[in-house]
Amino acid sequence: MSTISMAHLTKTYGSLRAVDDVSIDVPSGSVFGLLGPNGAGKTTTFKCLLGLARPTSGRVSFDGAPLMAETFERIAYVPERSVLYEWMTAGEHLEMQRRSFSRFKPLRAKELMDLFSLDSRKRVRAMSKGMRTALAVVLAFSIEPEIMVLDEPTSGLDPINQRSVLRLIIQAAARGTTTVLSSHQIGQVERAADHIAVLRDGRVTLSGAVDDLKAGHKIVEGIFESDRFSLNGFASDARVVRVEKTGRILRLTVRSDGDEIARALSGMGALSVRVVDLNLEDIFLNAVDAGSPVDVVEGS
Amino acid sequence: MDQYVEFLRAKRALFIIAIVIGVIVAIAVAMRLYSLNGGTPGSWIDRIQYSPTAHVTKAQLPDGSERVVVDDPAKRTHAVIVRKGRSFVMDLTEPSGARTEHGTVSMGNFSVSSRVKNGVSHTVVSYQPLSFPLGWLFLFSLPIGLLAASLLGGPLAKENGGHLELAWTKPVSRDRYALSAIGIDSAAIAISQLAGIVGMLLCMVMFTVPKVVLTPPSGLQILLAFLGPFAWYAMLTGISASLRRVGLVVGLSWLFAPNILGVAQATAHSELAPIRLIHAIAQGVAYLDPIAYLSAHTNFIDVMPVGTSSSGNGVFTSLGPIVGVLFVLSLLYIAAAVVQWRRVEA
Repeated sequence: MSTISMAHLTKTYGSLRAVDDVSIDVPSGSVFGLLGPNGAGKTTTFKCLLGLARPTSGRVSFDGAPLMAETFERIAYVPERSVLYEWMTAGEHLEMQRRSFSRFKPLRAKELMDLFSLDSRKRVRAMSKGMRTALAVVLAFSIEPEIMVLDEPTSGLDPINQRSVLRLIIQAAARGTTTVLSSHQIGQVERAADHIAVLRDGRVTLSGAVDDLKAGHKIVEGIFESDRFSLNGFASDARVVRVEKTGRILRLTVRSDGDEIARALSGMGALSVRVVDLNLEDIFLNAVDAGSPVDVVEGS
Repeated sequence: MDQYVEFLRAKRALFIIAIVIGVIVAIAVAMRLYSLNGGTPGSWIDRIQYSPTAHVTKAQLPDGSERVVVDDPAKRTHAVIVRKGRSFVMDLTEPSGARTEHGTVSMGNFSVSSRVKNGVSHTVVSYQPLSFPLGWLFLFSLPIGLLAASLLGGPLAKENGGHLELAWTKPVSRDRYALSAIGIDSAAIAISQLAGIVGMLLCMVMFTVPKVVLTPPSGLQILLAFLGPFAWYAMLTGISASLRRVGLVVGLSWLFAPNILGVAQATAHSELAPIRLIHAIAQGVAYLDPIAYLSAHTNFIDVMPVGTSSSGNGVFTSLGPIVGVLFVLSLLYIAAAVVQWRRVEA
């Protein structure tokens, strides 16, 4: 069952379609990575999801019900930018959270403050970007939510604290927390997320379980005797994402049937053929780089 | 309480108000200490009455007052003091220099009349306890209330300025969020006014113990005292609810609101079309301006004791309708703020 469901979500600002017909289902208890380059529409999607922006069209539901004020008792949100009150101390932010959420756990909050070495007496205006991000993470995790929406939760953090945040996400997922995560650190998403969607220009260009995507996406590379070989229809093959021809080498990025395509290259006379696994970053880059459904690149 | 942030803002505003009141009280203390050097009529009477060489005769008069006659041959002074309750009249004759002068000085509830002739000074001091209508006390708290309202005005704009992601992801509806913030601020404005009244009473008792009396318009005056700053707060909140900054709104409001009435009056009799247009705009805006209702054609304080006031737009001439209009204006501004708050996006 999906905890979070977005159906045909569209958000326009004037003539700009910031989010364009996005449909995403986040399975209960999963970590869902929402990836995309800057301006792809990730933050706007989050805002529509949480009612911070009104969708132009489409529907959002949590456990099948529309978002209501009471739903926020179960949700924690870490926004992309600091929204903390500059004039308040970290301790006052925690007190605000304690008074707002019945699920707030003071001991957990203290543990997290210690984890990120935050001083509860320090005012936000005196904090670095990383400390502000850390405090936002503390506020989110201290209520032990059922649903977390994390928009760049490691932004500005040092590698040690980035790892701490990642560990917290994985621990929360182990307890059954449903998490939607956006990050430019693809490696972190690969470690934490079991499902992803890639946004480009407000549209979902790729989505699915990380394992399935990695199992399907391959690079099939064939080396020919000369550079005069035919593409043999690969440019229009639905399984092929990208075609790169560099001299005698033909490199095909495929979304499925890598072995079958490798056999086809052998049949075309390739001297050697190899199939290379892709990591999530490669899959992401292929998804956002593609200028057309099949991108043919020729080099010398 | 899901409005901890507004609670902290209110606390900070009250701290500023406390500093302002503290400064005023400190000035009053300094003035009182300065005035002690010159002595007061009360201490003057005591000095004469308890002089070791004085011969004092006391008598009860038929109207219940007490007459004290002091003769001090050594100092060649003669005084007749008639006391009734806390009021008194003292008629004092004592030697003086060779100068000749006479005059009368009135200062609040004291009146001193002196005449010096042929080396003899004849002074009459009278004191009537200060009678202070309760409504005045509250109306004098208006400036403090307006200051607090200006500090706290536009709480929704303050959230719009980069905190909506925090404010709107709490398990509370937007309406409740807005109304509870406004409720906290309203309480803080009222508390600041009460603190202002306490401060004013402190300043007064340093000089004299005022007698607070209940006069017929007191209830309306008290209502006006609280509604005035609240209406101002509501206006600032209503105007700024869709904006991300409230400082500019407060600044411009203070620039225009107190002056719009003057503009309307100054342009009232012009025949020039552009001036008449300005007059029409200013007159229209004055209907929406709480400060215009708190202003008057004549000195506001002067008209208070008789329970009437003329409003800035010249339509309402008594306190009752002014209070009613301010109440309705407040509700309209708050409703406008809540409607905008529902529609704002992060």
